[in-house]
Amino acid sequence: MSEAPNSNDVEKALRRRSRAVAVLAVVLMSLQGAVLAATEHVTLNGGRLVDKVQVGAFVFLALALMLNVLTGGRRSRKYPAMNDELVRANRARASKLGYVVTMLALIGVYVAMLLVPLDVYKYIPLLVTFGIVVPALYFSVLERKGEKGG
Amino acid sequence: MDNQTERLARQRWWLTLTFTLSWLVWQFFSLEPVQAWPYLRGLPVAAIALGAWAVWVVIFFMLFAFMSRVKRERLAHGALDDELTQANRMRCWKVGYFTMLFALAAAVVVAAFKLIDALALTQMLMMVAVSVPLLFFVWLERDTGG
Repeated sequence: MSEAPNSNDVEKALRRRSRAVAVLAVVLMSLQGAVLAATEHVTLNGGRLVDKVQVGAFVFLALALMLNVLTGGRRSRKYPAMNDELVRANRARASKLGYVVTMLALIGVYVAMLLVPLDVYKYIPLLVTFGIVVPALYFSVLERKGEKGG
Repeated sequence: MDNQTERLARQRWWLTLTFTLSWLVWQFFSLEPVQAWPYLRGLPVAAIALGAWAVWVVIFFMLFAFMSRVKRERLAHGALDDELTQANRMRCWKVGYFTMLFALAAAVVVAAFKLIDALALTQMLMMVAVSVPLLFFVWLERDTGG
């Protein structure tokens, strides 16, 4: 028979998740320079294996972060409190912000492209990063606020 | 829902649907690669895009008029923006956000193979990002459309 989760364990798991999301977001952001260079190499001349691995790692990390924010991670199955109403509301608010900022960035890129020729390969990874990092950080902040408030 | 609220909900549903579809048609037919498609030779592509734009402008102003009318009628405003609608709207934000991210990921692949011109690609991304959540909202609220 499984035991009911200890509230201390849940709190610890919640704290760990919000910290992990924030750290992953910062790592994703810090990878930006290297990923831009690697994407350029891949699209211009096929690139070296290391460039492809770098781009692949970026996509993997972005997906991992997005899935963590979207589903709450594997631990939320063990601790239902990690996916309660407040978390779902926070997730919805983060998604809303993500949609708005990514859309605004996309419109900005579109307008800029009408004025100056922009390299399409450069801005897409930037938009992906922007669209994932901003809501992830916001989600993390909301979770921390919830912890302090609760 | 009383009769008037039902009528307003139906009106909103039709306005949202027409607004989205006309915008999609306008954007699609003004894409450069679409205009150059050999299958569409003989079709008045520019006229279709212009017609869709005209419909979109009319609906745009109708939406504004509708919103100000709903705001004036406080009771209807509350009924139209009930808990279910708010939940549906939240789901639409979420769907829009994830659709946009997946579209961006697909765009990375498209860009790598240089299949489409950059401006057209950006325009297509915007088409997907705007129309998917709106059409999803229309689908969620399909019962009110009748």
